Amino acid sequence: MPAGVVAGAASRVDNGSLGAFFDRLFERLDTTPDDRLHVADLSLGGASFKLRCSNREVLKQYSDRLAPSGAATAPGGRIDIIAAADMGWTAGQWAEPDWKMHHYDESAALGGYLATYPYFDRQWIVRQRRSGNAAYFLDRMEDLLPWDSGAPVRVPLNWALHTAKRRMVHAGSLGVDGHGVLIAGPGGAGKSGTTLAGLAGGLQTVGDDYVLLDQHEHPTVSPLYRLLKQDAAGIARIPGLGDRLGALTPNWQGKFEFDPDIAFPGCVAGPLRLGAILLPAVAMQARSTLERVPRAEAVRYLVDALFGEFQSRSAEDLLFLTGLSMRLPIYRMRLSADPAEIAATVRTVIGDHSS
Amino acid sequence: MVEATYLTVAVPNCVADDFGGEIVALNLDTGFYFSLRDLAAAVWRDLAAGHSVESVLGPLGAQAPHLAEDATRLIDRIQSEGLMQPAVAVVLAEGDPSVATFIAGGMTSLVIDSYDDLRDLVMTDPIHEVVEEVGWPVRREDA
Repeated sequence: MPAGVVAGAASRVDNGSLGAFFDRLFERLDTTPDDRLHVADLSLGGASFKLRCSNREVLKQYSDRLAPSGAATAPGGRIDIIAAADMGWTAGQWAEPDWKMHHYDESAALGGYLATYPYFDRQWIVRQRRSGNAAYFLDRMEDLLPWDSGAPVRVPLNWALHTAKRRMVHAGSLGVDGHGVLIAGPGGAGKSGTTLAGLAGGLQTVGDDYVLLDQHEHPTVSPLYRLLKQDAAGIARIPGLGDRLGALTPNWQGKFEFDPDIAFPGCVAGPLRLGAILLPAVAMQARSTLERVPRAEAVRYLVDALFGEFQSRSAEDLLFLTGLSMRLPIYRMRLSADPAEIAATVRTVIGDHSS
Repeated sequence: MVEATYLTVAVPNCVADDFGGEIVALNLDTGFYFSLRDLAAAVWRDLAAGHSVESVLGPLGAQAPHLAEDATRLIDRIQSEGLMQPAVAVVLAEGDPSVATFIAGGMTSLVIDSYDDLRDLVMTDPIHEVVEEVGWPVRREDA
């Protein structure tokens, strides 16, 4: 029997057996035929992915929330979402007393893997460097973290799409006629509210939570998800939106998740050429105001705002942000309480920076 | 016969990339970061691509002696700031250096700008000086 795997209860995994545990997992996944799982082929961020899942409903929900891109120009690999209980496999129990993320990273890398630290019991998210394939390996499908469906497979998607000049970032976006702005800030700053106000004012978006930011040419953002999130108060601020959305069940944050095209038909844009970055701040002013943010202050803010959700950030991430901050003006936008005024202000910023 | 000098980006202490024609380089040891545009960026790209220092300076000197002198100072600065270092092994570049094209286009600025306003972020060792549960760039209090 391979190291790290025992019959019956969950196998115990530590730094010493991590590589062998992942080897065994990928051997099993590689030899599991597609017809034992539920499968969707998707083009995301310009790459082709095969999404496989041991649960039909989860696959459907995840597929519906991902935003297909045009023709894929690169292979993205396979992403498996597997519950051990669905497959009759043995789960993996992290049993390493050394609670050090970098030791875990080193052990995974030594075995040829990239993996997120298993903070949550029996939840593994791992990418095999050699094949480019990735997996969520859970004990039971119910163990999927409640926020995962808000941005399905975001960690392996980021691994697959990540290049020196391209990152998945935690940000919103608004645009018109192919030009746009990135809207960045930590939770509660007003990203989603600003995006929603803009959409109600006739602007388009490529996403309000996670988007693909590319600096190979001029900075652009592209959609990865077809999903907006907003709380009841935010929905109530947009006239008629609650009626269009109908009855919704709140997510783990008490926010409502919905398809942007149902709320604002035609609002999902293709790639947007960025002209500026907005850092919204809820201020409830009579009119929104804009204030240019010095580069160093902006970079400090963006490091957490854009990458805060991802583990294992690097010096290359800081280089990516420093380069971005040298190419785009960054404004703090203190928001008014009026969605129409917010939309008009954002539209003006886009127009002023769409050369 | 004059021996050719080749330079390479001084990894791992320097990370650098080309953002829309502007070279941005971070020195992770000193915390300074740098910007090179115009002809200065072309000099960087040519050196990083595997052209020798002499083959880059040649077209500049042929155009105007002061350009070769300015470029020599730029290359010295790039090395003294720890951004590039002599190459141990070289993959030679194919074709001619791009600097001649830039001069022909009227781009003759050989300026390198330096900044130190992100030193604390740049100098944070992403492996050993961070809070384990959070990760870079949250610096550990005792680091």
